[in-house]
Amino acid sequence: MGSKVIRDPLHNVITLYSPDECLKVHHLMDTREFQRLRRIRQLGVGWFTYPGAEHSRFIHSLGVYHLAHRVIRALLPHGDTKLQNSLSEKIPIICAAALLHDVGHGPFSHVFENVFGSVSHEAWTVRILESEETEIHQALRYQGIPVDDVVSIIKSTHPDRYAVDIVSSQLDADRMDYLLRDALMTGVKYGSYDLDWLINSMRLAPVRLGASDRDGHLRLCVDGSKGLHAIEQYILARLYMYMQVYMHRTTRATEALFNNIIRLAAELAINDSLEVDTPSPILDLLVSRGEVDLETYLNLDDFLVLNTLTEWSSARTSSNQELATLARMCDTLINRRLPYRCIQLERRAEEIEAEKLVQHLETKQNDLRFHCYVDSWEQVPYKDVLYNLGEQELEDTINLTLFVIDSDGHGRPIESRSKVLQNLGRSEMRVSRFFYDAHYEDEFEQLFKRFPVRRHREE
Amino acid sequence: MRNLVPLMQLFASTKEIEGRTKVQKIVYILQTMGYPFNETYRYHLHGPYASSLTDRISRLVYLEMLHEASEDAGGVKRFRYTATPDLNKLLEEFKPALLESLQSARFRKIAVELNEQNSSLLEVVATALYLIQEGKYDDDLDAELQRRKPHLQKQIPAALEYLRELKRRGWLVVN
Repeated sequence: MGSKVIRDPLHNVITLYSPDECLKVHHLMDTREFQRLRRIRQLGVGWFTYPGAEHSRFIHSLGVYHLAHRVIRALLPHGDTKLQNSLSEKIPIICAAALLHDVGHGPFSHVFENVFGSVSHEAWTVRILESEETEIHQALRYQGIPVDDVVSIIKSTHPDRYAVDIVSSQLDADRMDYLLRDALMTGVKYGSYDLDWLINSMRLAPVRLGASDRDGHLRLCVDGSKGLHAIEQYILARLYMYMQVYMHRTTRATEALFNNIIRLAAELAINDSLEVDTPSPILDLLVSRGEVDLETYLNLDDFLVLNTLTEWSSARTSSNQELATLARMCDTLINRRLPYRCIQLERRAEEIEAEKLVQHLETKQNDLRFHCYVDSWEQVPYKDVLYNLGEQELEDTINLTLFVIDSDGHGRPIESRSKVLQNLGRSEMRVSRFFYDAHYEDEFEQLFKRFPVRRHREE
Repeated sequence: MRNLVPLMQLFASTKEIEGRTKVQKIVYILQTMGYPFNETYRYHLHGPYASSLTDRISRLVYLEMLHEASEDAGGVKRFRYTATPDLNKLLEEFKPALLESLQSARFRKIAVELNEQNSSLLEVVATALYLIQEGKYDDDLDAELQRRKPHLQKQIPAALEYLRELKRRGWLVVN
């Protein structure tokens, strides 16, 4: 097989450079587990809000592979021979980790993880890579790519921290790809940043992790004299994408409805009263509360879930009242007749009342518990910015820090150089919402008298 | 709030925990013991760390269920988390929904005892547990700990002994 290119709306041309690499990547891409990513959308239910955002985890994964390769090629000329050799040797494992980092994602992003609190998508990725039964495992073995090394990069345990940084850090190929791709596909143009310049300013440099670490560990850094503004723009882009896309009210309302559908369906399934055609992988998932075997998990994708919801929506006239309710909820989701009202919980007291209301419904096993949702989220644009300014406990989060190279050749946390990030790090963005189904307006109005989630006086 | 309840119950038992790293390691050890915490841990500089837990703590502080105080500890701030009266009041309201296993005398005893250990020891214990779960360091756990925790070398024998003690008491079931 010769070298090959793949067309991509974001990167235009993704090139597989050498015949050897081409063979390896194709072998991994052509596995059943990787092909499944074509049927999982990157933004979960995001396309209910942004109609263009129908891109899959498949193309995102190829984009991450492409960027990891670009980062390595940008780093190579700046190292000494020893480093160049070490980095070159690791290209197959770093790029395989980049390509495969998302294979464990379930349908509709994190919805099932949220509902069941079950195995994380990352743990599924590791299972898929480690199981001798999977085609990905066999392909890695066949191509001579050590599975353990790929897994250790994905789990952030690889001894060479810079290899982990390229795939999983504040400034990794994953984030670099999804921010730009999501911005492009949603049309939210200010979610963009200067990718080319950012990669061009990347270097490897030693970073000292505390007083006992004399020589430091080699980490992925940015040459501060070149890339400081590019990195500030990247952090801002991420903030805008969170505020504008990932936490968009309609998207979150749709997710809340989705969550409630799955919770209700799981309860019906466990009580053996989900009397409507349900594909067996979905039924297994509901009954086991997310703890299915690998084979079943690999049969789950967005398409199957949407088909199931369509099937469930046909039970609107069922004499089983709960099933008829589930059918109505599915119908509103599929046809985007989104029924949820949103109350912004602007004060602490309101948020606690909302939580108490939900807990009250749960305790009483009141049916309304499937028709409301507290959605609370906070984001510090650059959350580890206070580290090393003497304001934060020396903590695990050092691994989530961005580094710029100082005049002595050592990497230091970027907040030591960037006034913009110093100020941003002190501002906390908080969004708390209470969603409830307008179909039950009167019932919720009654509850609001006891649990005042809005117009609450400042305590 | 449902996902905050286990953490609230932990703080109701310990009253106070000093240090963010310590909270992380205590919850990791309790989760490994089978208690229903639901954090996604990844390996970081100080061993297993869950950003989901950091977010939950931050939310409890915002809701004034926890009081966060900080003090200077050699140039960096060390944080102390104390349960507020509001936390106990709210738990009282949630009573029927509380997780039974986290209400037990046994849980309280374990939580309090872990909290009495120093942060470095818990860091080595949590790291050792993480490595044991990995299943790749059965023969050379000690050497791997020495490699990963050179600055905590003195704590390693005590940590391994404490781990054995936890197993002896039947609090921890790992190979």
